[in-house]
Amino acid sequence: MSLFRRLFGRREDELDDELADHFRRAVEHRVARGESAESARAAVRREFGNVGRVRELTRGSWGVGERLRLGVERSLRDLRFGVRRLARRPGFTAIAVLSIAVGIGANTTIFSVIEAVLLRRLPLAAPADLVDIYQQGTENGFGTLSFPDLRDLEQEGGKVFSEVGGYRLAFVQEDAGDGVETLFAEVVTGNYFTMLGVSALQGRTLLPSDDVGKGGHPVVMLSYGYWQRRFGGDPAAVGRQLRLNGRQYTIVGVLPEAYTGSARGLMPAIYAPRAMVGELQPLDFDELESRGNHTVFVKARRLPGVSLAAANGFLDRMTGFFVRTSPKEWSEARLRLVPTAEVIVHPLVDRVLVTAAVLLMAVVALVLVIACANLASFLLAQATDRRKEVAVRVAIGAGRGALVRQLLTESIALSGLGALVGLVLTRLALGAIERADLPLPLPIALDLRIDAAVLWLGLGLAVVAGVAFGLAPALQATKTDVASTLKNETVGGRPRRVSFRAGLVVAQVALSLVLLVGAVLFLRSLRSRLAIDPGFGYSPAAILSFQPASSARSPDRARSFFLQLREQVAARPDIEHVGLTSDLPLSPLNNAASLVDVPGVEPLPGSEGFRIDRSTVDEGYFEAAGIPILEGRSFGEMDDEDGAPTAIVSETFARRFWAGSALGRTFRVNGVDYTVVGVTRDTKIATLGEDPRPQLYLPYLQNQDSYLTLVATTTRDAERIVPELMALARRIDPDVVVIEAKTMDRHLAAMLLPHRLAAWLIAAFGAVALLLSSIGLFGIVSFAVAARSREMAIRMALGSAPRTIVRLQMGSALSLVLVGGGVGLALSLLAARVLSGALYGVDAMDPVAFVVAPAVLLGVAVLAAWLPTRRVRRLSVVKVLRSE
Amino acid sequence: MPRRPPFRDSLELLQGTLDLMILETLRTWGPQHGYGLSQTIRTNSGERLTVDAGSIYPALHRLERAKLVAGSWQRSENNQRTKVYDLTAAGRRQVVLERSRWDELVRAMAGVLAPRSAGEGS
Repeated sequence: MSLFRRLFGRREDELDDELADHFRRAVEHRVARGESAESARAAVRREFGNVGRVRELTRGSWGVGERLRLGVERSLRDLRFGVRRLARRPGFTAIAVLSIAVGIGANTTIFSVIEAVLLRRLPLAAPADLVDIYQQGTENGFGTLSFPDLRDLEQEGGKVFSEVGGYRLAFVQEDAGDGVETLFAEVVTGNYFTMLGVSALQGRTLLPSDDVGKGGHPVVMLSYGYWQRRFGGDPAAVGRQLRLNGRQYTIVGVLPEAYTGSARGLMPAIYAPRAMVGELQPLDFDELESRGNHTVFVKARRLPGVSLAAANGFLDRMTGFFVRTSPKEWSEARLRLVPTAEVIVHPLVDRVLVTAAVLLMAVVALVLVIACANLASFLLAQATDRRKEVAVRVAIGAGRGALVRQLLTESIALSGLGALVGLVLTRLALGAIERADLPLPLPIALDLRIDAAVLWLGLGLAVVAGVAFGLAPALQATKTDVASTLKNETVGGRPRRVSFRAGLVVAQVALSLVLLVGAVLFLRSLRSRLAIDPGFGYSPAAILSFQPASSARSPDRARSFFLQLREQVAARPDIEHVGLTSDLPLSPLNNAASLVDVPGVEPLPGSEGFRIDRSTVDEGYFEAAGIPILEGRSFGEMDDEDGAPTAIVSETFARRFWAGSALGRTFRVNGVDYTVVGVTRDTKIATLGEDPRPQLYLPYLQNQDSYLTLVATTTRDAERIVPELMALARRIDPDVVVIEAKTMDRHLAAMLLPHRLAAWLIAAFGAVALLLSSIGLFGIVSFAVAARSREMAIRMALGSAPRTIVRLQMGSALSLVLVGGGVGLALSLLAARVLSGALYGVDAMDPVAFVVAPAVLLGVAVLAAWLPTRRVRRLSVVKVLRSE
Repeated sequence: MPRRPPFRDSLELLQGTLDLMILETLRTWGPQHGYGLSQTIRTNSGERLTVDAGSIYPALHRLERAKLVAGSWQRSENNQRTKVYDLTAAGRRQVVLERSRWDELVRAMAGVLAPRSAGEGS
C-alpha cells in the first residue's frame, strides 16, 4: 500500500493537504478578525462549498494520463476498501460469493457443454457452399444413401457441384500387439478432405488416388486426438503402420486438432478411404455395389454461382433417375438438401439438442437471477445499515457519484470473486462430466474446456450481475438525507426500500417454484418411463456385438465362429442362457425391417407390403433375453437350411394380421413363404415410449448374418463377465471386431439416459434455486428482526409475548412467500404447458407436481423465516432500549 | 509563443481572465499560497471579486501543468505544510504577453461599447 501510494496517491494526498491548509488558513483568518471558532468554521465551510466538488474540479485540470492513472488508482482504492469491508464480514461474504459462484458456475458449465456440442464450428473452407444430402423417406426425413447412390451423384453432379463426397461410420479393430482396441472410424471418399477444405497437420490428407481399387490402398489418416494418445504427437507416426482388422495400414497424415470429425460428438480415431470399406466394415455382400444398404452420409460443395434452388433442382432430377432405376429403394423417397452450416450432428438430433440447450440455458439463467436477487436483497439491507456511514461521508464532501462507484465496486468485487469460484466449479463439473461413466449408445466424446468464450461469459456475467445486484442498493444507500440521518437514529427501513426487497423475495420465490414444479414434473415423467416394461432383459447379462474379421468373412466361417462362440460361452458354469440376435431391441443403430406380404390382408395403398421390424435370432435368444413364448415353440435345430422357412412373430404382429391363433399361418417376404411356429410377448423395439409394434423373428440357421449380438445371462456380476467373454471371442478369432461390449443394465439405461439427465439436472437446479431463495428469505427476516429490535423491545416491554412478535415477523415474511408462490404457480402453469411435449406418463397439469412443489417450497420458506426469529426470544429489552 | 490562439468562447475568456489575475498577482506580490492568492485578488478588486477554492485550485493546477507557475511545499510559521506558488520563467514571459493582450481587449471592448453607450446616452 505504501508503494502504491508513493506511485499513484501522492498527488491526490497533496491536493487534500493543500485544501486542508486553505481551510485552516481561512478559519484562522476569520478568528483573527474576531469571529468565534465555530462560526468561522461554519462560514468557511459555506464559502468552500462541496470539498469533493473542488477536488474533482481541480483533478479535472490535470493531464489525461494523470486522470487515467487516478481513475485506476481510484478503482483500486475502491476495490481495496470494498475488499476490506467484505473481509470484515466473512460469513456474509462467503454466502454471497458462493451464491454468485453457483449462479455463474451453472451458466458457464452449461455454456461450455453447449459450446462444445452446438456452437464450435469445424474449420471448413467456405462452409456456406457445402450441403448435406439426405434421403427423405416415409419414416426418416433425413436418411443416409447407399454407396451406389453416392457414385451416381458423383458422376452426374458436375454441373452444380464442384465436389461430391461422403463418409460412413465404422468400428475397426486395432491390434497394437499388446492388446486389441476398438476404434471409431470414418470411411470417406478420396476427395472428402479436399471438398471440406481441410488440410493435414502432418503428412497429407487422403486423396482420390487412395480411393481406387477395392482393398487396394490400405492407408489411413489419424485424428489429432488419437495421434496424441497413441503416438504422443510424434511427427514420425506418419509412415508408420497400424494393424486394423488384421491388415497393415500405412499412416499417411494427421488431421488438425480443430477438425474433430463429420458429426459433432462422434470423434473418430481414424479416417480411411472408401475403397477399403469392405475390409474395415466386413459384410456378407459388397457394400459398394449394394443399393439397399443405406449407410453413407453425403456432402457436396456447390459450384460458385450455383444457388440452393439450382442444387435442389438437380437433386429432384436425380430423384427421378433413382425412382426409375431402383424403384424399390426410391419409390417413396426423394433426395433432400440441407446446408452443412445448418447441421450440427444430424437434423433430427439437432432439434432435440437445441431444445435441450435452450431449456438448460433458461434454467441456469433463472438460477443466476435468483442468486442476484439474493445479493441485491442483502446489499439493500446493508444499504440501510450503511446509511449513517454514507451520511457521514456525504457530510465530509463525498460526491454521490463517488459513493455509488464505491458501492458498485464492492458488489462487482463480490460477483468477480463469485465468477472466479464459479469457474473453478465449472472446471470441476466439466471434469466430472468427462469422467462420468454414462451408458451412451455411441462412443460420444466432447472437447469440453474453459476457452476464451467461456471466460468472457464468466467475466460478462460477473459485471452484469455485479451491476444488477449492486446498482439498486447503491442508489438507495446514497439517496440519503444527511441531516435527518445524522440527527435521527431511525431504525428500520423505510417502506419503499422494504417493498423493493419484498419484490425481490416475491420474484425469487416465484422463479424457484417454477423450477421446482418443472423438477417434479420431470422426475415423475422419469418415474413413468422407468416403470415401462421393455419386454426383455430382466436378468443380468453380458451383451457383445461382433463382426467376424475379414479373414472369417465367408458366411460359413462367420457361422462357425458364432456357433463356436455360443458353445464355449454356454459351457461356462457362470452362464445361464446364451442367445444370438442380429438386432437387440432398443438399439438406436439397428433398424432392420422386412416388407411383409400377408395373404388376405391388403397392404396400404401404394406399398407392396407391411414394413415390419425384423431380427434374426437363434434358438437360445428368447430365453437369454427373457422374452416369453406365449404360443407354439422357439426355434430349434430343425429350423436350418434344410428345413421349411419358419418364423416367430410377436403378439401384436399376430393380432394385427390374424384373428385367432397365429400358429401355422404363413406370410411372404422377398418371395419366400414363412410359416409361423411361435408367438412371443411384445418387446419395446425403438423407444420405450412407443405403442406396441409388430415384430418378426427369423431363425439364424436359415438366415445368415455376419453381424450378431451375443446375449449371455449370468449368475455373477455381468460387468466382470463382459471382458472375459471378449477375451474368449478373441481366442476363437483373433481379428474379430467387437463393436460393442456392455451389460444389459447399461443397454437399458442408455434409453433412459436423456430423461434421467434432464430430470436430475432440473431437480438439481431446482434445489439450488430453493436453497438460494431460502437464504434470501432468511436474510430478509434476520434483517427485519435486527432492524426492528427496538420496536420489538418496546412491544415486549409493554407486555407482548415473544411468540406474538415472532408470529408478526414470520407473518410478513410468509405473506411474501404466498404472493411469490401465487405468481410462481401461474408461471409454472405456463411453463408446464410448454414442456408438456417432453413429458411421459404425466399430465402437464399434474396435481402431484402442483401440490408437492409448493408444499416443499412453503416448508423450506417457513423454516428459513423461523430460524432468524429465534433471536427475538433472546432479546434483552433493557439492553436494546439502552443502546439506542 | 502564445499558449493558445485568441479566445474561442466565454468560458475560455473567463479562465484566461482568472489565469491572468493569478499570474499578475504572483508577478506583483511574489510567491503565494492558494488562500493568499484568493485573498489578494479579493482585496485588490475592492472586495468585488471573490475567487473561491473551486476556481482557484483548478486554475493553479492548470497553470502548474502548463509550467507557467511552480508549486513547492514549505513549512509555515507554525510548522504547517503549505504549498506556495511562484511564476516560472515561462510564466513571466506569458504574463507580459497576456497583459498586452488584455490591454488590447480592453481597448477593443471600450471601442465597441463606448460609441453605443454614448449614442444611447444622448
